[in-house]
Amino acid sequence: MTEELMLAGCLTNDANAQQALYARFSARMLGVCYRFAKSREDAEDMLQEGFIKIFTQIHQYRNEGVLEGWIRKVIVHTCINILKKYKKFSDCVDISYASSLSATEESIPSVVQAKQVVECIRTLPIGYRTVLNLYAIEGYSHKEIADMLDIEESTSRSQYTRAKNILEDMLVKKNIILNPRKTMNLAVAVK
Amino acid sequence: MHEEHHSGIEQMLQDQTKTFHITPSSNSWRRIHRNLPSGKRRISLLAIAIISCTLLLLPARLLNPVLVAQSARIIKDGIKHLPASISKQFLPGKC
Repeated sequence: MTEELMLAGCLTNDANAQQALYARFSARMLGVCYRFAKSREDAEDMLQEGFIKIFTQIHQYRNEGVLEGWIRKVIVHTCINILKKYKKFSDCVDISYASSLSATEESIPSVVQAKQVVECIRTLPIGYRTVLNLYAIEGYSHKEIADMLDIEESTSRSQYTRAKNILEDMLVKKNIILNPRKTMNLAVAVK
Repeated sequence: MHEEHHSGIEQMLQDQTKTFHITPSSNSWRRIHRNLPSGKRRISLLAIAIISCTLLLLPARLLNPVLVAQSARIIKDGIKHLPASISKQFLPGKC
């Protein structure tokens, strides 16, 4: 089924079109939810709530930009709204606690690199994880993140910096990336 | 997307997570579908409501018109006992 047909069908609440849309995007969107969620079950709940919103608000999609982009935006906002119910994002994590976080063999199955990266992200404390997901992966600005999470822009920036440092350490330990600080020193030395 | 996103670890994270998909559980779609306002379902609910009302009202009117008339008179008398401002709405021009 083409995207146009799916869209037209969804606008008239046609179950076949809705199912086709779900089949096309659900796996990708569950991957997005999984990065925000605490568990697989939570991610599935986010996905379901998100798709119900997509189908009930599909008339708001104006054919501006890619449909997947709009779907992703609805899913991300659903994840944030669910997380906001249980968590104050202005709470800062104790730095010593955050620094002690590391990727253990048990928490990271070494099958696929993408999965390893996602599992590393998921070991971060919820505040760090959410800001990192929104800024580095979803491409929101710190101002937008501050508005979405009801926090200061400076909090978003500092949480991102800390999250990035912890994540870099984890990825270096897992040999997924080279140590960026060492690389930088090397570049300076070469100059 | 911000220009500052296009460097180092951010680019790597975007590239890696792009390929990260998880297949939802088998009953996931059914759970969503159950919570959706379906056009067909709305029509069938309306049809059920109309049929139920017809079945309830028709026999009373056709089989026992005396009972229906009596009920109507009782209701009419009851309305007359209400304050004029309210009863006017039910029996315009008669109170």
